[in-house]
Amino acid sequence: MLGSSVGKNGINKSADVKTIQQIINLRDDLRKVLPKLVVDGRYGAKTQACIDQAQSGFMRQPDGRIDPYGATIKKIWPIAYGKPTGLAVRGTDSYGAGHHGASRGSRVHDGTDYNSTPGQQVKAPLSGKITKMSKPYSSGIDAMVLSGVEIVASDGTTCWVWYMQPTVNIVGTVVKAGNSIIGTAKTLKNRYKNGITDHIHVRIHTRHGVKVNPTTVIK
Amino acid sequence: MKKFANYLILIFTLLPLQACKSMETSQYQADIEGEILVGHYIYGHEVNSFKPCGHKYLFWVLGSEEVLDLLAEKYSNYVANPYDEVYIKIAGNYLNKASDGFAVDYDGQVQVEKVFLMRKKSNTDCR
Repeated sequence: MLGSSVGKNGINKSADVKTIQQIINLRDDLRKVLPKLVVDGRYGAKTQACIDQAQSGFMRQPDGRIDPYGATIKKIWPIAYGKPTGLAVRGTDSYGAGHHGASRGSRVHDGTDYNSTPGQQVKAPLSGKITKMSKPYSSGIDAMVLSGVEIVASDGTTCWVWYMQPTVNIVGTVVKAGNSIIGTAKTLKNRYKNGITDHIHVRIHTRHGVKVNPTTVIK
Repeated sequence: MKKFANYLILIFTLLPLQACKSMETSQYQADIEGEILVGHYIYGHEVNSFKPCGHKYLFWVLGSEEVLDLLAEKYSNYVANPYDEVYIKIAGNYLNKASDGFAVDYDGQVQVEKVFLMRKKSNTDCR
Protein backbone atom coordinates (compact mmCIF):
# COMPACT_ATOMS: atom_id res chain seq x y z
CA MET A 1 0.00 0.00 0.00
CA LEU A 2 3.10 2.21 0.17
CA GLY A 3 5.14 2.83 -2.97
CA SER A 4 8.10 4.26 -1.07
CA SER A 5 9.19 5.36 2.41
CA VAL A 6 7.51 8.05 4.49
CA GLY A 7 9.02 10.00 7.42
CA LYS A 8 12.49 11.03 8.52
CA ASN A 9 14.93 10.63 5.57
CA GLY A 10 12.12 9.08 3.59
CA ILE A 11 11.15 9.76 -0.03
CA ASN A 12 7.80 11.20 1.10
CA LYS A 13 5.85 10.99 -2.13
CA SER A 14 2.50 12.70 -1.88
CA ALA A 15 0.39 9.54 -2.42
CA ASP A 16 2.32 7.67 0.28
CA VAL A 17 2.15 10.57 2.76
CA LYS A 18 -1.62 10.69 2.17
CA THR A 19 -1.85 6.96 2.94
CA ILE A 20 0.00 7.42 6.25
CA GLN A 21 -2.08 10.49 7.16
CA GLN A 22 -5.28 8.50 6.58
CA ILE A 23 -4.01 5.58 8.67
CA ILE A 24 -3.03 7.86 11.55
CA ASN A 25 -6.47 9.50 11.49
CA LEU A 26 -8.14 6.07 11.58
CA ARG A 27 -6.08 4.94 14.59
CA ASP A 28 -8.09 5.70 17.73
CA ASP A 29 -5.06 5.27 20.01
CA LEU A 30 -3.11 7.98 18.15
CA ARG A 31 -6.11 10.30 17.92
CA LYS A 32 -6.32 10.35 21.71
CA VAL A 33 -2.89 11.97 22.06
CA LEU A 34 -2.47 13.84 18.79
CA PRO A 35 -4.69 16.13 16.74
CA LYS A 36 -6.29 14.86 13.53
CA LEU A 37 -4.06 15.35 10.49
CA VAL A 38 -5.10 17.15 7.35
CA VAL A 39 -4.92 14.55 4.56
CA ASP A 40 -3.09 16.69 2.00
CA GLY A 41 -0.12 14.48 1.05
CA ARG A 42 2.34 17.05 2.39
CA TYR A 43 5.01 15.75 4.73
CA GLY A 44 5.70 18.03 7.71
CA ALA A 45 6.27 18.21 11.46
CA LYS A 46 2.74 17.12 12.40
CA THR A 47 2.89 13.99 10.27
CA GLN A 48 6.37 13.19 11.60
CA ALA A 49 5.19 13.65 15.20
CA CYS A 50 2.45 11.10 14.59
CA ILE A 51 4.92 8.61 13.08
CA ASP A 52 7.22 9.05 16.11
CA GLN A 53 4.30 8.59 18.49
CA ALA A 54 3.13 5.46 16.68
CA GLN A 55 6.60 3.89 16.70
CA SER A 56 7.16 4.69 20.37
CA GLY A 57 4.44 2.19 21.19
CA PHE A 58 6.32 -0.82 19.81
CA MET A 59 9.91 0.15 18.95
CA ARG A 60 12.73 0.61 21.44
CA GLN A 61 14.62 2.91 19.09
CA PRO A 62 12.12 4.54 16.71
CA ASP A 63 13.72 5.57 13.40
CA GLY A 64 10.85 7.87 12.42
CA ARG A 65 10.44 6.22 9.04
CA ILE A 66 7.81 3.93 7.53
CA ASP A 67 9.03 1.63 4.75
CA PRO A 68 6.91 -0.39 2.31
CA TYR A 69 6.27 -3.87 3.76
CA GLY A 70 8.30 -2.89 6.84
CA ALA A 71 7.53 -3.49 10.51
CA THR A 72 5.91 -0.10 11.13
CA ILE A 73 3.34 -0.20 8.31
CA LYS A 74 2.42 -3.79 9.24
CA LYS A 75 2.01 -2.73 12.85
CA ILE A 76 -0.03 0.44 12.31
CA TRP A 77 -2.31 -1.03 9.61
CA PRO A 78 -2.20 -4.77 10.23
CA ILE A 79 -3.50 -7.25 7.73
CA ALA A 80 -7.11 -8.18 8.53
CA TYR A 81 -10.03 -9.74 6.71
CA GLY A 82 -13.79 -9.26 6.88
CA LYS A 83 -16.95 -10.49 5.21
CA PRO A 84 -17.86 -8.35 2.19
CA THR A 85 -21.62 -8.94 2.18
CA GLY A 86 -22.35 -10.81 5.40
CA LEU A 87 -23.90 -13.60 3.34
CA ALA A 88 -22.88 -17.18 2.58
CA VAL A 89 -20.63 -18.45 -0.19
CA ARG A 90 -22.50 -19.01 -3.44
CA GLY A 91 -23.54 -22.63 -3.86
CA THR A 92 -24.16 -24.38 -7.17
CA ASP A 93 -26.58 -22.83 -9.65
CA SER A 94 -27.11 -23.27 -13.38
CA TYR A 95 -23.87 -21.37 -14.11
CA GLY A 96 -21.55 -23.30 -11.81
CA ALA A 97 -20.42 -23.06 -8.19
CA GLY A 98 -18.89 -20.20 -6.20
CA HIS A 99 -16.26 -21.88 -4.05
CA HIS A 100 -12.53 -21.52 -4.58
CA GLY A 101 -11.36 -24.21 -6.99
CA ALA A 102 -14.77 -24.76 -8.61
CA SER A 103 -14.68 -25.64 -12.33
CA ARG A 104 -14.42 -22.82 -14.85
CA GLY A 105 -13.98 -24.94 -17.97
CA SER A 106 -10.28 -25.67 -18.45
CA ARG A 107 -9.44 -23.50 -15.44
CA VAL A 108 -10.60 -23.43 -11.83
CA HIS A 109 -12.27 -20.63 -9.92
CA ASP A 110 -9.59 -18.40 -8.41
CA GLY A 111 -11.55 -16.68 -5.65
CA THR A 112 -14.74 -17.09 -3.69
CA ASP A 113 -18.20 -15.80 -4.58
CA TYR A 114 -20.14 -14.29 -1.68
CA ASN A 115 -23.89 -14.08 -2.14
CA SER A 116 -25.21 -10.53 -2.35
CA THR A 117 -28.43 -8.60 -2.71
CA PRO A 118 -28.32 -6.07 -5.54
CA GLY A 119 -27.89 -2.57 -4.13
CA GLN A 120 -26.54 -3.72 -0.76
CA GLN A 121 -23.41 -2.11 0.61
CA VAL A 122 -20.21 -4.04 0.08
CA LYS A 123 -17.56 -3.87 2.80
CA ALA A 124 -13.80 -4.23 2.33
CA PRO A 125 -12.76 -7.91 2.62
CA LEU A 126 -9.15 -6.82 3.33
CA SER A 127 -7.61 -3.95 5.30
CA GLY A 128 -5.45 -1.89 2.99
CA LYS A 129 -5.57 0.80 0.37
CA ILE A 130 -7.77 0.90 -2.72
CA THR A 131 -5.10 1.15 -5.37
CA LYS A 132 -7.22 1.15 -8.54
CA MET A 133 -10.50 0.36 -10.20
CA SER A 134 -10.50 -3.17 -11.57
CA LYS A 135 -12.73 -4.74 -14.21
CA PRO A 136 -13.49 -8.45 -14.37
CA TYR A 137 -14.11 -8.24 -18.13
CA SER A 138 -12.34 -6.11 -20.70
CA SER A 139 -14.70 -6.18 -23.68
CA GLY A 140 -18.36 -6.43 -24.59
CA ILE A 141 -21.33 -5.42 -22.47
CA ASP A 142 -19.77 -7.01 -19.37
CA ALA A 143 -16.90 -4.52 -19.49
CA MET A 144 -19.38 -1.66 -19.44
CA VAL A 145 -21.60 -2.83 -16.59
CA LEU A 146 -19.41 -4.93 -14.30
CA SER A 147 -16.71 -3.31 -12.23
CA GLY A 148 -14.76 -3.54 -8.98
CA VAL A 149 -11.66 -2.47 -7.10
CA GLU A 150 -8.18 -3.66 -6.16
CA ILE A 151 -7.09 -3.45 -2.50
CA VAL A 152 -3.46 -3.82 -1.42
CA ALA A 153 -2.63 -4.57 2.23
CA SER A 154 0.41 -3.49 4.26
CA ASP A 155 2.24 -6.75 3.52
CA GLY A 156 1.47 -6.58 -0.22
CA THR A 157 -1.42 -9.03 -0.16
CA THR A 158 -3.78 -8.02 -2.97
CA CYS A 159 -7.53 -8.48 -3.14
CA TRP A 160 -9.84 -7.90 -6.08
CA VAL A 161 -13.55 -7.37 -5.45
CA TRP A 162 -15.74 -7.62 -8.57
CA TYR A 163 -19.42 -7.26 -9.53
CA MET A 164 -20.07 -4.09 -7.58
CA GLN A 165 -20.33 -0.39 -8.26
CA PRO A 166 -17.36 1.18 -6.46
CA THR A 167 -17.99 4.18 -4.23
CA VAL A 168 -17.17 7.49 -5.96
CA ASN A 169 -13.55 8.66 -5.46
CA ILE A 170 -12.66 5.47 -3.58
CA VAL A 171 -9.24 5.02 -5.24
CA GLY A 172 -6.47 6.07 -2.85
CA THR A 173 -8.62 5.49 0.23
CA VAL A 174 -7.40 3.43 3.19
CA VAL A 175 -10.02 0.85 4.17
CA LYS A 176 -10.65 -1.37 7.17
CA ALA A 177 -11.78 -4.97 6.63
CA GLY A 178 -15.41 -5.68 7.42
CA ASN A 179 -15.99 -2.03 8.21
CA SER A 180 -15.32 0.36 5.31
CA ILE A 181 -17.95 0.49 2.59
CA ILE A 182 -16.32 0.21 -0.82
CA GLY A 183 -19.34 0.03 -3.11
CA THR A 184 -22.78 -1.41 -3.83
CA ALA A 185 -23.54 -4.87 -5.17
CA LYS A 186 -24.76 -5.22 -8.75
CA THR A 187 -27.04 -7.85 -10.22
CA LEU A 188 -25.77 -10.48 -12.63
CA LYS A 189 -29.26 -11.68 -13.53
CA ASN A 190 -29.58 -9.29 -16.50
CA ARG A 191 -26.57 -10.96 -18.07
CA TYR A 192 -27.07 -14.57 -16.98
CA LYS A 193 -30.79 -15.12 -17.29
CA ASN A 194 -31.12 -18.81 -16.43
CA GLY A 195 -30.92 -18.48 -12.68
CA ILE A 196 -27.55 -17.23 -11.44
CA THR A 197 -27.21 -16.36 -7.75
CA ASP A 198 -26.19 -12.71 -7.38
CA HIS A 199 -22.77 -12.48 -5.79
CA ILE A 200 -19.56 -10.55 -5.23
CA HIS A 201 -16.36 -12.18 -6.46
CA VAL A 202 -13.39 -11.93 -4.08
CA ARG A 203 -9.92 -12.95 -5.27
CA ILE A 204 -6.85 -12.82 -3.01
CA HIS A 205 -3.18 -13.25 -3.94
CA THR A 206 -0.10 -12.86 -1.77
CA ARG A 207 2.48 -10.20 -2.65
CA HIS A 208 4.32 -12.90 -4.61
CA GLY A 209 1.27 -13.94 -6.61
CA VAL A 210 0.35 -17.08 -4.66
CA LYS A 211 -3.40 -17.73 -4.81
CA VAL A 212 -5.21 -17.70 -1.48
CA ASN A 213 -8.55 -19.37 -0.83
CA PRO A 214 -10.54 -16.45 0.64
CA THR A 215 -12.54 -18.72 2.95
CA THR A 216 -9.34 -19.67 4.78
CA VAL A 217 -8.82 -16.06 5.86
CA ILE A 218 -12.28 -14.45 5.80
CA LYS A 219 -14.02 -15.90 8.85
CA MET B 1 2.18 -36.53 -79.92
CA LYS B 2 -1.59 -35.97 -79.94
CA LYS B 3 -1.64 -36.97 -76.25
CA PHE B 4 1.02 -34.40 -75.44
CA ALA B 5 -0.93 -31.69 -77.32
CA ASN B 6 -4.05 -32.52 -75.31
CA TYR B 7 -2.01 -32.28 -72.10
CA LEU B 8 -0.77 -28.82 -73.11
CA ILE B 9 -4.34 -27.70 -73.87
CA LEU B 10 -5.43 -28.91 -70.45
CA ILE B 11 -2.58 -27.07 -68.72
CA PHE B 12 -3.31 -23.81 -70.54
CA THR B 13 -7.00 -24.14 -69.73
CA LEU B 14 -6.46 -24.82 -66.01
CA LEU B 15 -3.83 -22.15 -65.41
CA PRO B 16 -6.17 -19.17 -65.87
CA LEU B 17 -8.78 -20.93 -63.73
CA GLN B 18 -6.22 -21.44 -60.96
CA ALA B 19 -5.25 -17.77 -61.25
CA CYS B 20 -8.90 -16.76 -60.86
CA LYS B 21 -9.23 -19.03 -57.81
CA SER B 22 -6.11 -17.48 -56.24
CA MET B 23 -7.50 -14.03 -56.83
CA GLU B 24 -10.78 -15.08 -55.24
CA THR B 25 -8.93 -16.43 -52.20
CA SER B 26 -6.91 -13.25 -51.85
CA GLN B 27 -10.03 -11.13 -52.12
CA TYR B 28 -11.77 -13.36 -49.57
CA GLN B 29 -8.89 -13.02 -47.13
CA ALA B 30 -8.69 -9.29 -47.69
CA ASP B 31 -12.33 -8.98 -46.63
CA ILE B 32 -11.55 -10.54 -43.27
CA GLU B 33 -9.48 -8.86 -40.61
CA GLY B 34 -7.34 -11.40 -38.80
CA GLU B 35 -6.14 -14.95 -39.25
CA ILE B 36 -8.47 -17.89 -39.76
CA LEU B 37 -8.34 -19.89 -36.52
CA VAL B 38 -9.89 -23.19 -35.52
CA GLY B 39 -10.14 -24.76 -32.08
CA HIS B 40 -12.33 -25.24 -29.06
CA TYR B 41 -14.38 -22.57 -27.38
CA ILE B 42 -16.01 -22.29 -23.95
CA TYR B 43 -18.43 -19.60 -22.87
CA GLY B 44 -19.88 -19.29 -19.39
CA HIS B 45 -19.91 -17.25 -16.24
CA GLU B 46 -16.35 -15.93 -15.83
CA VAL B 47 -15.14 -17.92 -18.84
CA ASN B 48 -14.73 -16.94 -22.49
CA SER B 49 -11.89 -19.07 -23.78
CA PHE B 50 -10.40 -20.35 -27.02
CA LYS B 51 -7.91 -23.22 -27.35
CA PRO B 52 -6.48 -23.40 -30.87
CA CYS B 53 -6.11 -26.81 -32.48
CA GLY B 54 -2.61 -28.19 -31.99
CA HIS B 55 -1.66 -25.78 -29.21
CA LYS B 56 -1.54 -26.16 -25.46
CA TYR B 57 -2.18 -22.45 -24.86
CA LEU B 58 -5.51 -21.07 -23.77
CA PHE B 59 -6.68 -17.62 -24.83
CA TRP B 60 -9.25 -15.26 -23.36
CA VAL B 61 -11.73 -14.15 -26.03
CA LEU B 62 -12.26 -10.46 -26.76
CA GLY B 63 -14.56 -8.94 -29.34
CA SER B 64 -17.19 -6.38 -30.11
CA GLU B 65 -20.49 -6.62 -28.26
CA GLU B 66 -22.03 -8.00 -31.47
CA VAL B 67 -19.42 -10.77 -31.86
CA LEU B 68 -19.47 -11.76 -28.18
CA ASP B 69 -23.27 -11.89 -28.15
CA LEU B 70 -23.24 -14.05 -31.28
CA LEU B 71 -20.73 -16.46 -29.72
CA ALA B 72 -22.77 -16.70 -26.51
CA GLU B 73 -26.03 -17.22 -28.37
CA LYS B 74 -24.64 -19.92 -30.67
CA TYR B 75 -22.84 -21.62 -27.78
CA SER B 76 -26.07 -22.08 -25.83
CA ASN B 77 -27.47 -24.11 -28.75
CA TYR B 78 -24.68 -26.69 -28.68
CA VAL B 79 -23.98 -27.48 -25.04
CA ALA B 80 -25.78 -29.51 -22.40
CA ASN B 81 -23.66 -28.57 -19.37
CA PRO B 82 -21.89 -25.40 -18.20
CA TYR B 83 -18.37 -25.05 -19.61
CA ASP B 84 -18.72 -27.79 -22.28
CA GLU B 85 -16.40 -27.27 -25.27
CA VAL B 86 -17.58 -26.59 -28.82
CA TYR B 87 -15.60 -26.47 -32.06
CA ILE B 88 -15.30 -23.10 -33.81
CA LYS B 89 -13.77 -21.50 -36.86
CA ILE B 90 -13.13 -17.80 -36.47
CA ALA B 91 -11.18 -14.86 -37.84
CA GLY B 92 -9.12 -13.21 -35.15
CA ASN B 93 -5.84 -11.82 -33.91
CA TYR B 94 -3.77 -12.91 -30.96
CA LEU B 95 -3.01 -10.25 -28.36
CA ASN B 96 -0.76 -10.08 -25.30
CA LYS B 97 -1.66 -11.44 -21.89
CA ALA B 98 -4.16 -9.31 -19.99
CA SER B 99 -3.27 -7.29 -16.89
CA ASP B 100 -6.69 -7.19 -15.21
CA GLY B 101 -9.81 -9.29 -14.80
CA PHE B 102 -10.42 -12.98 -15.39
CA ALA B 103 -8.32 -12.77 -18.56
CA VAL B 104 -5.09 -12.67 -16.48
CA ASP B 105 -5.53 -16.41 -15.82
CA TYR B 106 -5.00 -17.15 -19.53
CA ASP B 107 -1.86 -17.39 -21.66
CA GLY B 108 -2.99 -14.58 -23.94
CA GLN B 109 -5.99 -13.02 -25.58
CA VAL B 110 -7.60 -13.38 -28.99
CA GLN B 111 -9.62 -10.58 -30.57
CA VAL B 112 -12.37 -12.28 -32.57
CA GLU B 113 -13.49 -10.39 -35.68
CA LYS B 114 -15.80 -12.93 -37.29
CA VAL B 115 -17.40 -16.29 -36.50
CA PHE B 116 -17.62 -18.72 -39.43
CA LEU B 117 -18.65 -21.93 -37.77
CA MET B 118 -19.63 -23.41 -34.43
CA ARG B 119 -20.60 -27.02 -33.82
CA LYS B 120 -20.54 -29.68 -31.14
CA LYS B 121 -17.13 -30.98 -30.16
CA SER B 122 -16.04 -34.23 -31.78
CA ASN B 123 -12.95 -36.44 -31.70
CA THR B 124 -12.09 -35.53 -35.30
CA ASP B 125 -12.18 -31.75 -34.79
CA CYS B 126 -8.49 -30.95 -35.01
CA ARG B 127 -7.33 -33.65 -37.44
